[in-house]
Amino acid sequence: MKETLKFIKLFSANKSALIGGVLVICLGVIALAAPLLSGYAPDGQNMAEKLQPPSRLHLLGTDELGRDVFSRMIFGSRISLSVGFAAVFISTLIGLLVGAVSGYFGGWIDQFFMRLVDIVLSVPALFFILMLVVFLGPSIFNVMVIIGLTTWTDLARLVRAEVLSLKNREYILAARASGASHARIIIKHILPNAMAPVFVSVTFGVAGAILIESGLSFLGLGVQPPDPSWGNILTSGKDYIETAWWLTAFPGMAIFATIISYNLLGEGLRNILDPRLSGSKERV
Amino acid sequence: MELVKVQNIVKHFRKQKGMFGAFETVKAVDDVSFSINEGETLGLVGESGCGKSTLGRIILRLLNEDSGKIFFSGKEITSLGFNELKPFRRDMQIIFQDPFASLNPRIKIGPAVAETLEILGDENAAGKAAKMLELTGLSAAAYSKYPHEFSGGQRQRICIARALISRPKFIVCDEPVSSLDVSVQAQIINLLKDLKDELGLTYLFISHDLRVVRNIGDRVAVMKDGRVVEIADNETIYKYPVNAYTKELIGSVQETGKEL
Repeated sequence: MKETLKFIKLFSANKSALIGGVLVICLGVIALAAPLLSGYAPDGQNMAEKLQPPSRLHLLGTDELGRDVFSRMIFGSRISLSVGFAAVFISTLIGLLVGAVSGYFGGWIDQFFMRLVDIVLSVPALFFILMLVVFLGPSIFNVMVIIGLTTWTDLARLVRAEVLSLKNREYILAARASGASHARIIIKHILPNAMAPVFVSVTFGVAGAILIESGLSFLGLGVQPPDPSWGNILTSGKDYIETAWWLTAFPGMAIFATIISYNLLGEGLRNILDPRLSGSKERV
Repeated sequence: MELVKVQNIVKHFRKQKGMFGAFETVKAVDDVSFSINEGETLGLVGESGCGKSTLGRIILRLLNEDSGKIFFSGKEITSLGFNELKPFRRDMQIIFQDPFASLNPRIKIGPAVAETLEILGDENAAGKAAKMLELTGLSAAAYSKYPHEFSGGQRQRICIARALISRPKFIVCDEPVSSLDVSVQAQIINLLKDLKDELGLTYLFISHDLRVVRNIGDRVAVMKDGRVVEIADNETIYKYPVNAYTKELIGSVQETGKEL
């Protein structure tokens, strides 16, 4: 309890964490409340009202098929956020597992996984992802899995380093003297003490995954129309960029705002959880 | 009767300088043999880095030896695997030097003390842990607190409770008072002595401080560079040391004076 209170206190005193946190919560609420806020179906076409500039009727204008851009964007936020979270969930799971096993057992297991990480990192990530998408075909599910499968390496290294510093603590030896199994030691004694950098990494990871998803959808390899995603709204809007600026400006701003709010939150969390970086003496 | 027997234990660590550098061998434990009788306290002294902690960990099978054998109650335990060792875990425990590093900061005292019993599947683990905390001089209220709420001496009492919870026969005390204030040192040593009489324990008491070992040990083994250079009764070793290194150690204590 004391630690939770201290965390809340440090969190609210940290401007970037606070601003990022509030923005992230707002984005989440908008995505959850999409059907209540939209007013139009995200794929409801009305050719009579196509390419209308922002007005009271259509807050952010309409696209070339007369669909309400505001409605498409808030439904698109659902897809972008869920792709972001699902991808990060997958990559965190893999990263935790690989990092923990690698750091804890050491030896050839460590060598094997760390060389695997080196190999994955030596191929340009976007190229790797594009290749996989081309082979497996573009769909929301594939995009989630592929992003998850290609972005776990940083976390694996981070967790490994953390485990290395924890595994020789005396309380780990005490647990072994008590007959605790390796699994019990990793789950009960090591990982709970290694979570701080994981939270930070997850936050940055969501921003990264959303950015990759937007990029893929922009290239037509991510979320497929008519499902709205910020990336594919942007790509269909680019043909009208000289006449209908709202089709590209708003999704671009949405992507920008989302990435920056997650990055602010991540930066803030890092400062709170890791005093070595912030220079502050207080820590949770 | 012999409780623990150490036979020709060898442990070398290989260190490599950089990725392609030459290997360097550190002989942490180099052909050590001795035995500890039931109910006895064997003091193990030597300067830091002489391999005494490594030896303590090998005896408890927390570290694998390169060669040699460990016998516990007449059974060889060096060849046993994880599951076969489980029944022995109940009987042999360890207390560490640094009471701040030896408790998991995220686990409350009660569950930390009860862990051994929980692993063994004891249904009354919590109740026994509370009792054990009282036996080591803490209040039962400590049960639901976190380690950071305690001082060094109190934490060491918690560690002692954790080591004793499964009613072991043998405890390796790995410099249990070295990081404590002098006044607290005496309290913890007295506690260890009382518990030994009350519960019939056998100790391997590791320390770099001869005065501490003199206070608690029945016999003393002196270790240098991975070897036991002298082993004798407490009185004999202080009055008639044979080995040059032992003489040097005793001389250094007499110079600084002060008995503990």
